[in-house]
This record gives sequence, C-alpha cells and structure tokens, in this order.
Amino acid sequence: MIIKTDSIQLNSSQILKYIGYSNKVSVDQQTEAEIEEGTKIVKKLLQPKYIFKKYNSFSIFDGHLKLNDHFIIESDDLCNHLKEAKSIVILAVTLGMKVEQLIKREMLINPSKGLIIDAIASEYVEKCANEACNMIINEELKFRNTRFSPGYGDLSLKIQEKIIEVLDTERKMGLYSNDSFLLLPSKSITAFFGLFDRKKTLKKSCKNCQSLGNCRYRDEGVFCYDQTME
Amino acid sequence: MIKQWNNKVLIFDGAMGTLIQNSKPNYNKLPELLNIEAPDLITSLHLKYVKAGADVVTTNTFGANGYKLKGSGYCVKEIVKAAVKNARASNSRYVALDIGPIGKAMSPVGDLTVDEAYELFKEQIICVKDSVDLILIETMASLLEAKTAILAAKENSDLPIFVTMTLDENNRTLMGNDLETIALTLSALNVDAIGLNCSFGPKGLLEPIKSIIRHTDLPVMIQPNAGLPKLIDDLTLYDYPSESFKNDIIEMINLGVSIIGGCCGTTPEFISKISELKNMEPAEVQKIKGSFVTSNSKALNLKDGPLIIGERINPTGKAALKEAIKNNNYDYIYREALDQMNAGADILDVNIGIPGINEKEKYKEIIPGLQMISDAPLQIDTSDFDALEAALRVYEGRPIINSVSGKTKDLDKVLPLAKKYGALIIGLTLDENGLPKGVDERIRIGQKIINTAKKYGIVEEDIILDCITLSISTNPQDAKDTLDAVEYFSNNSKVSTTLGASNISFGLPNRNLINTTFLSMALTKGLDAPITDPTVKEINDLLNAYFALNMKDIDCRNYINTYKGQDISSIRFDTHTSNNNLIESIVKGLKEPTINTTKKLLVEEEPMTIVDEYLIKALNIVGDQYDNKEIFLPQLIRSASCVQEAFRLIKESLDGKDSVSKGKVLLATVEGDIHDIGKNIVKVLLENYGYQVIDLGKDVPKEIIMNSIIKNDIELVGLSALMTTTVKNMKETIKLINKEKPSCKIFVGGAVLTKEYAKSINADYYCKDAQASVRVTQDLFNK
Repeated sequence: MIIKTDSIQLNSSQILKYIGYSNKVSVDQQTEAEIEEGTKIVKKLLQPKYIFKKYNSFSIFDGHLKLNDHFIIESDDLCNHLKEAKSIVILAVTLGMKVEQLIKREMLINPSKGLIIDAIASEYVEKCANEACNMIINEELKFRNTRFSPGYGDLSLKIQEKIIEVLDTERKMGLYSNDSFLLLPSKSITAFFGLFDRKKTLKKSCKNCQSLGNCRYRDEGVFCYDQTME
Repeated sequence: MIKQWNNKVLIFDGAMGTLIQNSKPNYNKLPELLNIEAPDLITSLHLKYVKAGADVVTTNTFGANGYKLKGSGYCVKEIVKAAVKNARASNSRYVALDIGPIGKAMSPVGDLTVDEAYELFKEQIICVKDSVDLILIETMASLLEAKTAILAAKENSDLPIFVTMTLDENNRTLMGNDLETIALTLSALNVDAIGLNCSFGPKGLLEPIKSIIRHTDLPVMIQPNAGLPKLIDDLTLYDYPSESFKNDIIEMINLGVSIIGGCCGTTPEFISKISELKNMEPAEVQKIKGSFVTSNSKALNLKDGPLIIGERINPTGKAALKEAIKNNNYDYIYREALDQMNAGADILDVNIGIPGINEKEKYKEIIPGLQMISDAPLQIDTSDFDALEAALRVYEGRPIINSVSGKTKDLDKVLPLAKKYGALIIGLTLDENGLPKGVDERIRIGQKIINTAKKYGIVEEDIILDCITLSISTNPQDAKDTLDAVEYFSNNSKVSTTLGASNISFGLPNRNLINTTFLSMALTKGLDAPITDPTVKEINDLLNAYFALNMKDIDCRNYINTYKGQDISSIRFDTHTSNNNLIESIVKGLKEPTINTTKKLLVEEEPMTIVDEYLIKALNIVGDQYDNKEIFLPQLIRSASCVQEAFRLIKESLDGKDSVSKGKVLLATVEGDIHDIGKNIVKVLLENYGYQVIDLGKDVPKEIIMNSIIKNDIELVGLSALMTTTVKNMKETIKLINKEKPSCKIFVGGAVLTKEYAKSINADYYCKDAQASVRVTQDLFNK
C-alpha cells in the first residue's frame, strides 16, 4: 500500500543531526540550501509503500513471542515492549529503489550533497513509518506504542528474513534482506508495535540501544532520534 | 504446440497458493513441499483447473529453488519432479514448469549475482526438461532476473518459454523496469510469449498491456490477480467478482492478448468464466517499429535521433582511466558516465580494454554498476569475445555491440551473439581487404553485413553501420566518401548509421573546428548516432544548435535555457582575470574558482608544488576547522571535492609521467556490512590528500582483503564496520592481517566502535571520524 507523503513534515534538526551538526550551532547557508533542494529531489523520487500484518491471538511466555506455530521470536526486550498489547502489528516500510539510486549517484558526483540526501532519506523513512503506523491504528484499538525494530535490544537482525517472508515484501514492495540480514533498499524499516486499549507513550528512549554509553549524540547532549512523538 | 493456438485464445490456470490456503488454512510451510507431503491434494487442485477449462496447468514450483528450499529438508530436484508428476496426473493438455523469482535482490543492489541466479534456475529446469511442455517464468520484478532465467531455460532445454512480469502502481516493475524496455528486451531474447501477471488487479493492467502489445510481435499473455487485495488482520482476501474479471479479460483480448489465466486470488470459478472466451479472436494491432536500444528503465529509438553516444569511457590515451580500471576504482568510471550524461550523452560506449587485465571479470562488475547509477543504454566496446559475451549476459536491457567488421569470419562469430542476447550491432564497413576505398566499397561491405545478419535472423533495424572516418590529412577524398555512404544507407535501408567522427581531423591543427564541421555535415546527411565527447564545449554547442535548427528541441527550449543571458566569451576560462587565491577557494568550497586558479597555477608552478603548497595546506586548514567544530561534514566534503577537481587537472597535466601519490591505503567495509557511506567519505578525503586509495567496497571477506594487501604491497589498511553484528568480522580480519603481514598497520572506524574496543581487537589506530583517518595516514607516511 502506498503512503501519502503530502502531509509529512520533515524535522530539519534531525537531518542536521544525521550529517554531524549538533543542535547548538547554526548551519551554513550552502548546507541549508542543499537540504532544501535535496528534500525536493528526494520527494520527487520517493515511492513509499507499506505492508503489515496484524495478530490478534498470540502469546508471550519467558522471553518468547509466539505469533503462531511457525513464528516464534526469542527476545526479552521485544516481549517486554509488547506486554499488555491487545494486538501485535508487524510492519514493513520502504522508500523504494529510486531513492537508493539517487543516493548512490550523488555520492559519486557530489559527495557533500550525497551525504545530505542520505540524511533526508533517513528522516523520510522514519516519518513514513510513523505515517503507516497511524494509518494502521483502527477504531477498536486506538492506541499504539513505539516501533521496535530488529537490532533493537536483544532482538536479532536475523528475524528480518522471517519478516520479509511473512509479509511477502519481495513480491509486494520490492523489499529484500541480504545475507547479513540488512534491508534492501537500505532506506526501509521493519518493526513491531502493539495496539492497546489505553494510551501509551510514543516517546522513544535509549534504554534498548546497544550504543548506550558509547553514543556520539549523547556525548553532545542530544539524541539520535526525533524528540517529538512518533 | 505454439502453432496450435494461433488465432485463438490459450487458457492457463489460476492461483495455486489461494487454493492451498483454502484447503489447508493452517499450513505454514513452503507450499511447494506439499508436492511430496500431499501429492493427491496438489493433483486434485490441478484437476479443478482442468475441469474448469484450462489448457495449461502450472506446476506448484513457484518457490522451488535452491535458495528458498534451503533448510526445508528437500532438494530442488525431488520437489520439482514430484510437482511435474502431480500436474501430469491431472491429465491436463499441457503442463508448464513454473519458475518464480529466487527471492533475493540481484546485485549490485543485492548480493545475488547473475551467475548464482543462473545456477539456481538451471537446477530447477534441467531435471524436468523432457517431461513438461513449456516453461513459465513469472512474477518477475527484475528484468535482469527474468533474462537470467530465460538464458538458463534456453541453454538447458528446447522448451517454449513464456515470461510474465509484475508491476507496481507506477506501471513499472518494483526494480524500476518500464513497459517498453520489458517488451523490447524480452522479445529480443527470442522467447515464445511475453506478458504481465500478478500486479494489482485486471483493471489496472489494461493500459500497461496495451504498451506491451504495441512493442512486441510475440503472443501476449496476461494473468492478473482477482482484483485488489483486502487486508483483514493477518489474512489477505480477494473479493473481486469472477464476472467482472471475465469482462476485463474480454477487453484485453480485444486489445490483442491471446493467452489468459489468473494469479493471486483467482480460483477454478474464474478460469471457468474465462475459458468461455477461448474462441474469441484476439485483435490485430498496429505495432511500433524502430531501432530500439534500452537501459534497464528507458528505451530509445535511434530513428528518433540523432542520439549522442558518449565516447569517454575508453582508456586509449587516458592515464587516469587506465589506472582506475586496473585498480578496480570503478567509481571513476561511474563519474565519467554521469558527467557525459549531464553533458547530453544519450548512450554510453564502454571500453575497458587495457593489456594484462581480466576484461571479462571487470565487465561483470562495471556493467551492472553503470546500470545501477545511470539510465543511459550502454554500448559494449571490446574485441575480447569472451568479455563481450560476459557483458551481454549481465546487461539488463538491449545494448549495442561495438562492433563487428565486414570480415566473414568476424560476422560468423559475433552476429550469433547479437541474436542470442538481443543486442543491436555496429557493423564497420571494412573487410578482409582492410580499410574501404571510396563510397562504393563502403556500400558493398555495408550490404554484405546487412545480408549476413539477415541469415542469422537479425533485422535491418537492429544494425548500425559505421561507414569509417579516416583523416583528411592523409585521405583528402575520404570525408566526402564517408558522408555519401551515410546518405546512401540513410535513404536506401532501415539500418542506422554511426561515426567515430573525430578521426577526421587527425594530424591537423585546431581539430575541434574540423570535427564539429564534419559532424554537422554528417548529421544533415542523416547520421543517427555519432560517437563523440559531449563534454567538449564546441561539440556540445554544435549539438544544441543542430537540435534547435532541426525541430528536435521543441520551441528551442533547451537552446534558450542553455545560452540565455550568457555572453559566450565570458564563460571561457581566462588565465589573466582569475586572481582568486587557491587556498581560499578550497577552504570556502568554491568549485569554479578552484578549477580556474589551478589551471592558472599549472602554467606557473610545478604540479607537485601546487599539491604541497596549496592543496594540502588548504585541506589542513579545513581539517583543523572541522576538529574545532567550526565547520561540519558537508563543508569538509565540499572542500575535499574542490581538491579533487584540482587533482584531476594536475593528473591530466602529468599525463601519467609522474605520480602524485603519497602512499597507498586500502579501504574496506568488513564482511557482512553494507554500510559504506562512512568509508566512502574517508576515501574522498584520503584521495584528496594525495593518497592512492584501493577501495575494495563493502561486505568484503577477510581473504579478499588479505590477498589485496599482499598483491598491492599495502602498509596501511582502513576497516569500517557499522554494526555490532559485524564488528566480530573486523576482529577476524585484523587477526588474519596481523598473522600474514604483521608490518601492515590498521585503522578502524564505524559507529559502534570505541577506542577501547578498537584496542581490544588489536587495531593500531581508532579513528573517530573521517578527518582522524587523514591524520593517521599523514603521520604514518611522513615518518
């Protein structure tokens, strides 16, 4: 399914963070102009799509999430994230191949612009994933929690393969996993989230991050993720 | 069998997965395993389609390939054989072996190479090549993958081949292939039927199938889904009425479709409805004819030209390009490609012929690499027959072969390749007697090429004749002879014409003047595709003017945009007016002033002085500013890019006589990791400080890194890893280097690394950012 991007607002301070600016400094004019131009280019080439599956009957037991007989995931952190959920959603989002090519091309002929476009695309895929989550929330269960992706906490990247298979993303949206369980095109996200009958916080935290204690963002007193709600 | 359904409609079956889901709702393993675990069920499902009126049933083997079956407990051969047996047991008139996509992305996007995909397809085909009636290659989202499956089918069986692709809402495949390119490429690969399947319901396929029909002479096939799916929790449901499906199919037959069936969500009920249509007459449709060359996402008709073939990817006389090819520095080639396209090239000639290299293996990387970054069709320019075939196999689309001569021996060798791989071919009008004399000889040899090609089944439209340009300084009559031959073929045949125009001025002063004048004369004689350098300003100007004068540039829009408000003389470089300080230009990241000042300095100073006194000093200033957080990464890179431009000019002026290299550094992202943006930035910076960088790319096994260290006598290696999961491969790589070549120093970087961790895995240096890697390199090589 296609994600409409008209209403998506990018957070420019996120983009700046990705390319190494800390919050406090003012950005030079050319970079600012390149971000503005790059955003237009990326927007033109975006083909954002999402696919999801919703599981209403599942069980969570000693660090295992069982979605059905053939889909059992071992991860304390994921189980913890999804406890009390009424339904569980698996989501895949991608910006498509064209953005991938654009980044590759720009890195070759104009690396500074390539870097900026890469950052813009990173911000876009985050926002598109939020948009997809919000489209999935239904009438009975209006509340969700934050996205939890493979690689967070103790959730192995290996699970990508299974997600790709279950959601049939290769066929439906051209999203693949490679031999190292990384997503292709790279500006893509897979994630789990829970649906709840009462409000949950959509504020992210660092608690499941493997870089906690060794984080260039936190060293500078900022966060890698968008501090506004998901 | 193909003849038997000419002029009426052939009926295929519908979905297998949908029926399996309905009869075994909780079955969660690969549906292909049921061929062995529940053969009677599979046969009964085939039988439902036979009873519904299908002429052809498709084996339950969509995902029965070695990659998907890995770990299933079954091998490909036993599943495929069982599947064919099950299909045969339904007593269907015909059985089609079903081949779906492998399930991995093809390289260079993903890690599945053409050779690997070929072997996987071959394994599926070879065991049942004598027990099925045709091969159906379906639901392909990558034209290259479809082509690879076709080659595997052709080279391992004599079966008819039907191919269908799946589209997304943009009427392209998910990998970006467009409809024209799909139709032209698949038809040129000499299959038996082509078409579309799956996608997004029959209504949405009406327009796309029209385009396919217009661009092929082959029977066209359609197998749509049963409408658009509805997602209800974890189930995908289709609720399109079979009557509507039938009406859509009627419309398609009226557009010219002659093979019909169903995909996801269709059932025997659907096939029963559409089998009522088997005696309808498919419409006869007017086809679009032309001389089409394609990339993977764009088709160009030489008859709509002139089209410009960029000649710059050719190492003859280019030291920097030679070095880049030798060192696998393919980014250099990709930049040449993009520069030419920006200057107006429509097609790119790719010649990588230098002595002592393995051209075949290099083509296998360069061709897909070029196709990843550009949508210009390519022209494969080599005299190495094996390299040519390797390039043709990995090319996604219809390329041009450059070239074959009029020698009988050459024609008999190269023309079959052009036919097999569906390429257009440049024929040189020279033969056993050497270069042609006069216009008659050019015409005679050209005619011989046309006639021989016809014998191999190659039509005139797929031939491009090069009537040979010789220098007027030695052969004064030649310009006229060449032009007359171009005019002759342009008026009297369907072939296209090309010329490598710049030979004309060899040995004369002011060559550009002769070149552009000759080119403009040739264009007026009907030249379709000059091979030239569009980045040369005079050529670019000529082409802009020619297009404006010949109504190829609508409303002169491009001409006006290019020259509006420009005083032509002022944009030329003037050595006397440029007083900008080079260091300042670099620090500010200003490209044009950097180029101009460098050109000026090259007149006055030694190249190495410019490197040491200006470029390195400027980079050091920028580096300090970066460390002090006065500037940030984009600015740092901008300055580095300026230096890169300056270096390019300096290297050109050295012309390979001397080297500006201050030392060799090998860079790689370790195995398992595909994040290379950080490594690429390190590369840009190091190169601009004058170091030669051997970039092995991303996801590089430790053995390959080690081999390259030994082969290139490397003393400094930079390794990058971005994920906790791949840091262990970094450790292994360092262990191997320390064992095999202890003197070699190693610096490491990447988001998850710390100084302490770097030390614990025995790296010599930890670099927190790209600038730090420059400091390390400088320290080491200055010692």
